[in-house]
Amino acid sequence: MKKSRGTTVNFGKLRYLPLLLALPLQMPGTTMAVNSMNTIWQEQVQVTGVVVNAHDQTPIQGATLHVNQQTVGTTDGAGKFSISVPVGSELRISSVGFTTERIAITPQRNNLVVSLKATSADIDEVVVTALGIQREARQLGYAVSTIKGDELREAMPTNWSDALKGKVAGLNLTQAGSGPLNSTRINLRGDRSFSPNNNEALIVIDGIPMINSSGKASSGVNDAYGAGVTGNIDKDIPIDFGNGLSDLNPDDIASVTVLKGPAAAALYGSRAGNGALIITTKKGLKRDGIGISLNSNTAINDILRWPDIQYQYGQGNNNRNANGELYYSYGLSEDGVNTGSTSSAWGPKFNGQMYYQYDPATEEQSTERLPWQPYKNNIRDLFQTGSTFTNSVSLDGATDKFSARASLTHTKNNWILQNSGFERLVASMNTSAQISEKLKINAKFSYASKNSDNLPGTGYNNQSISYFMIFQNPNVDLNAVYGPRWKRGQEQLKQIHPYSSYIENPFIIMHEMTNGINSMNMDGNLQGVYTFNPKWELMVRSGINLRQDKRESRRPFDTANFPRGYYKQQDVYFFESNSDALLSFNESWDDRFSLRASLGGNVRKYNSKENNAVARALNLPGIYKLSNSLEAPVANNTIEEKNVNSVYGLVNLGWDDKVYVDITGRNDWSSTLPSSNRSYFYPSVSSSYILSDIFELPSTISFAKARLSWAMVGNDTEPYRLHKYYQISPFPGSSTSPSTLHNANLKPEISTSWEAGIDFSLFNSRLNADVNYYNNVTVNQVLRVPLDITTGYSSAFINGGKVRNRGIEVLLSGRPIVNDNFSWTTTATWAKNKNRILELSKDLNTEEQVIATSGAGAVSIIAREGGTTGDLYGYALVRNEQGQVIFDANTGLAIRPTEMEKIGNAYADWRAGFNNEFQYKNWTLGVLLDGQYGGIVYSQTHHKMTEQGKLGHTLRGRETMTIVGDGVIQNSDGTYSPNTKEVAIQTWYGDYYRRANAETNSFDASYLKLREVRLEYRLPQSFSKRLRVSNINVAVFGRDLAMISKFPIFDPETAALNGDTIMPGVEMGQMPTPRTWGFNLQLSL
Amino acid sequence: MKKLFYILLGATSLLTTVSCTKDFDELNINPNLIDKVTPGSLVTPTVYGMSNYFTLRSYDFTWQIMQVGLPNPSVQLGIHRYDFMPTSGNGTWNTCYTWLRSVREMREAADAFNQPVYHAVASTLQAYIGGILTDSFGDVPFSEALLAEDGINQPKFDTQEEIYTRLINDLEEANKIYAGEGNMSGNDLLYNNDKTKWRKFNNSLLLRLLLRTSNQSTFDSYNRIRQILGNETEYPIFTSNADAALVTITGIAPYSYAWARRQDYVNFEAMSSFFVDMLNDMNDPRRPLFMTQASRMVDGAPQAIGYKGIPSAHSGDESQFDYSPSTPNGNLMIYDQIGTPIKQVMMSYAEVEFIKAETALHIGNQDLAKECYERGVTAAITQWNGGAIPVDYFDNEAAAFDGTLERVLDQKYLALFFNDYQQWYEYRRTGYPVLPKTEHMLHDGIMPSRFMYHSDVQRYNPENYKAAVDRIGKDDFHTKVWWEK
Repeated sequence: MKKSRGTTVNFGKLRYLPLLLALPLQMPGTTMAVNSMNTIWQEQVQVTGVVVNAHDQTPIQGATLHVNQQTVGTTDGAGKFSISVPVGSELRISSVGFTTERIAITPQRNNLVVSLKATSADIDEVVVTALGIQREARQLGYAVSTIKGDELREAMPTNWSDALKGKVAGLNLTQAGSGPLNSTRINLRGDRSFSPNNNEALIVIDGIPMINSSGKASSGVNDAYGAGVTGNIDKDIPIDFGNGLSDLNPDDIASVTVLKGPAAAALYGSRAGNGALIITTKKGLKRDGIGISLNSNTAINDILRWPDIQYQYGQGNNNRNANGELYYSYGLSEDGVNTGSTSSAWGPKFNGQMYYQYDPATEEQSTERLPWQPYKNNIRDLFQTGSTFTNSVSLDGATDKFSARASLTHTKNNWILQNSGFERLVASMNTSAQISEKLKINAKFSYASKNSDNLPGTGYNNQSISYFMIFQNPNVDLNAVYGPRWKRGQEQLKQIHPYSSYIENPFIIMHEMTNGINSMNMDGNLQGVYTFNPKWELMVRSGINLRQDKRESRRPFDTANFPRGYYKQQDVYFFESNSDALLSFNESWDDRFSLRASLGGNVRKYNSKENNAVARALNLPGIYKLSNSLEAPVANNTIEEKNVNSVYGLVNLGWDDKVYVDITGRNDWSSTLPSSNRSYFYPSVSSSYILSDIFELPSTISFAKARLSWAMVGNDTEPYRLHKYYQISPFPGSSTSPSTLHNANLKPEISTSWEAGIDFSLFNSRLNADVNYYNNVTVNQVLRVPLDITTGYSSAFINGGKVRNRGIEVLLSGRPIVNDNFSWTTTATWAKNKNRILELSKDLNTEEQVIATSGAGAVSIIAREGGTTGDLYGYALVRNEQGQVIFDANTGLAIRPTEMEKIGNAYADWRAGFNNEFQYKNWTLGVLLDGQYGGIVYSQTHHKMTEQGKLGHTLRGRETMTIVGDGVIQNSDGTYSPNTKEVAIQTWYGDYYRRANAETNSFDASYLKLREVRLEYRLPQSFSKRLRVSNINVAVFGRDLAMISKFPIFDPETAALNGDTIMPGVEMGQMPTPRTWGFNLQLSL
Repeated sequence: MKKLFYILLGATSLLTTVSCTKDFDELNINPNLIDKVTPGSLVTPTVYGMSNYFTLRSYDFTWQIMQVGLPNPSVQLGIHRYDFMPTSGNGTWNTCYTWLRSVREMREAADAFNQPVYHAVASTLQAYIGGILTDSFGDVPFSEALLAEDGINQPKFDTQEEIYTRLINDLEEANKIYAGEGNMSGNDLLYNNDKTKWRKFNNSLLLRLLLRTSNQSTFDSYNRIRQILGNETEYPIFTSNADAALVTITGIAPYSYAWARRQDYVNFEAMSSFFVDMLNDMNDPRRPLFMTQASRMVDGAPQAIGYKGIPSAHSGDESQFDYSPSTPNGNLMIYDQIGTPIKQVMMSYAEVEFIKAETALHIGNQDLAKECYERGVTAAITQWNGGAIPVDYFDNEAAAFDGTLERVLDQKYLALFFNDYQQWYEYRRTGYPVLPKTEHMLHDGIMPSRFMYHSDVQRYNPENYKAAVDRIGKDDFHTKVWWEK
């Protein structure tokens, strides 16, 4: 350790480590003797048996057999085992997702048939904890949730993480609704950081953390609101290229353990401060012959919900003819001047009357008057029935010394929007070899290839389909008008958008403004486990995660932002390697005390490279090659590197299966921090008390456990924040000064949390409850705070801020009916998190910090002391003491406030899920409902469609074409009288629902969704045997089938995709949410 | 026990490897960005950044407050009704300090790399940017500003007089440096490294600053202007539109036009009656360059009715007008054929001639004033693409020189079209042109004289802010800046 020249290692903080080591080191001699004496004096007996699922008597593979805290074997592919154990000892049989069984071994007891009951709560379940250590849930002093692989496939989403919705209390998935890949922001127990991208949970696959920063999915455009924004060199839109998370094949997942808090995750270091999702993939199992399973999924998608779009009044801006009647004329006609160039629908009512309109045949005004009629499918026809076909095959098997599993999955998605979707191939392999009695080697490799010719652009900008949906007028025949795309004889030069040049031709958007991707994702690891003796074990593991994307964006000529076209190539490469060594020691005494201690180290290396080459104007239209650039194409590359070294240790102590205590400690050295602050240590302690074993409890309580834990987690920052660097300027040979002041003295950020919980089961485990309370405080965050620009910088990096998250998580589960033929299992989850900013920063005299902003400043998330990290600010209506809206007496329009105020909170008050499963003989029916209460969403689509008279609620006032605002005017003496001023309808809606009015455009985001329904039938064994297959399941399923919500646009589950940041609480050009209907066939040979 | 030894050895070596961080400092050096700049690399971003922003601001702000144009429809509020918000000046504040920062870096780099011409270019740009800053706000942080790296987080506010003194002294010094040795070698969007033109810009700015402060005696402005005008070798100034600080923008990225979309410039804006009528009176050839013709429905067909605007600060919606008013001509600022150069104005040659004309009037030389006036008008018309002055232009009584300051400043107003906030400053200095008032203007129809300070400076620099406010009287829209008094 002394080798670290030039850096000050904080030895003081490491003082615990020798202690951790010393504990096991003193003991081995004596305890080994005790143990071997037991072994010698006890009579051994050979026990054989089979482990089956209590429900359907199917064999359970891979169940673990323990005697005296030690693993003595696992079951093979047929659920069989054969082991030698001392007579009189207790054999414990456990398997992930099942209740552990305990059997006393007597000479008579062999040829056992052990049936395990599926658990609905996590009482006796075996779960995978940090570092891949399998433990019984009863031993854990912190909250975890485990989702079995099967549950992820029940109503197969294209991104497996969607299947976690509603199943884990405290888990929050945020998506922008941005296309087929739909990147997900996974958050546990609330946002700790002011930096929106630092709140995501860590994803660990078989011990190797994966690159999942959604930020890396960016196309390089960082604002979902881009229409008419100046000063942006590339006037393009964000594109959701998907994060690597979706490249995991759900068929390969054995289980996902959600470690919700820092106590559970502290061993994973910096990134685990936001909790972690530990994914364990399936392994090969010993069986007769080869296990082959096939899984085929066919899903079709329609659209969950449409906004209430009005089809009663057509295009126009309240234009009247000489008789004072509303009229319409595309271009000048004898009826009057042109009224056909507005995007607003404040025109005449559809009564079948005749007007001169646009004629697609001539591409100009019709020669005859045409009937005035709505085209109710003029937005819906942009969408099609989507489909996803997923087929996977897996092979597995094992001998005494070797096991392997390989799988191949192919997914083909045609998304609901024309010409969008993706194709994905995932191949994975998982092997394990017992090289010698002491050495075991595991190797795992997975490769995913993902292709798409087009992923739709998102957000509010001319190039997005959401923008077109907003601007489309009810009297426009979509296919007839826009279908030909280009004007006759002017292919690729003049697009057809006859009504307004703001509106791009949607068929050009969908078919020619394409965003292709060709992505490769690899992860793999090699692990060696050397068992010195039953007590000492050394594990060495090295793993990589690598992603390479080739992306391409095309923009044709004659489009609003690109009069001469645009072409961009983006090559993105990420690489992370993690190498670990972990030395472990196990011991138990008198069957009463048990101890496991480990000491490990980790070296993490990260690097990424992004190469962009852009032709910002093209020479020839329709040719997308860099060589066709009008000027020399511009290259812009970014390289990032970061290393973190760590040492960690843990001690698990158990007493009499009644009390368990875990202690962990970790020290990190991060390259992103200055040498003086580079090293930081953080410990955790957690404890579990099996109350039902410690105390005599009434017989109705079959099990009760209490837990208590405390943890600290340190976190580093992004690289290159310590020194001054000039920024790249788009001009050749030019630079600009940095706008953020570097900080050579940054410190690590520290989260401290504690949690307490109770688990209990009543009525013979028919009713289970798990209740958890937590409190987490994060300090010393690395913040980018605003500076007064007169200092030369507009922002600076500082350490500051103090954010607290407190919350309650409840899981209730029960089996109200359990019969041989029929059972009903029900699970409810409920979670509430309260986020509060205790302090912004002591160093700076700042009252607020803007966390994120969208809609050209219309709405911002602003952090203030006493507020939350999800408070939405914007302009509201001005009201008098009675709460009445005050209008201007002259104009009749709402008075505008001068200050922005808090409109609401983007975070839900609470979330809940309600899952029910009914089994009748071979039939299973699962129904999952989930929802949230509270939270608001600001809707840009609502603002714009209201301003343009497109939504149903703008029908009010159409008879007179005027509106009198509901409220008061202020008299000169300060009193109020009712507002009576009539205002022209288009002016009134445009002003009352103006973009900057965050109050009138924000809505309650509460919702209740019918998230999953699945009806499954398992063909009887007798039938499947005849087909020589061991198991056939067929199922129909649905996802996102129905929703109750007040949100007026597509879906309240939304966010703005601001490039690399998913901003909650803001809808900035939304696309519809697909509703899924599917058929699933599973076959095991 | 041997095993134990190996285990311990392994554990120790593991800890040693892991805690070895000696290459971390090097690893954390940014491989993408440079930590030094040459002075020439800062010129184009500064020129483009300033001229693009203030071209937009001219449209969004100056057009409205000076009755050149206005949003249409505009049912309530808006700058043309003198509707100022406390935040109205925030963008101006941020933009000026951002580029002044760049200018400071340029000056330091010029000294570090021993490229003295860039020291002069920095002073020229400092006067251009600093002038806009102080004319918009009055007293502002200046001598202590932009020094966060030196630990100054709360700069004091300098008086406008102090700032002008510094700007003028630096321009004088720069004029001497330009005359000396050294050349420019970098990307220069404005003058393509022609330091003689930079020198003319420098000295023309000196004239602008001196005239702006001519109500005060500090600089003995008129006499100094006369000295400069009388010494062309020592003080070369703009003598034609070819010299003028006009930024050529092709529209091809990165030299994008100021507006993201042509529609954002052309739509939802009408020309203002005051501006259009003034041009109509003069039968001015700039009308088709600046705007479209208005139209009215006659017998069910629209008919062109010549150039006609709508009044600024009117009440009610657009239905009160029985005609479609003149709107901005897109090709002036965003050519429909991308790649066609347009011009953004930092300082025009015409302005120099109008400064001369005003000085001539001040000393009572009517003939000289007429000469300068006519050259100024001619330059103002011909500086635009396609601009040509008819031979009989000055035969029109409304356009002919009539010996009054008002006539000179009315034409200067037209000449300052699209030139950042210059029309506003000149109006505040002289009261010309005489703008019509309506009862729908806020502040009792009194035009605001300045922006309020940025809210950030109030929050982060409260003591110096308070000292400055105590000195100027009040941080509101009507406090007059020093040269206006």
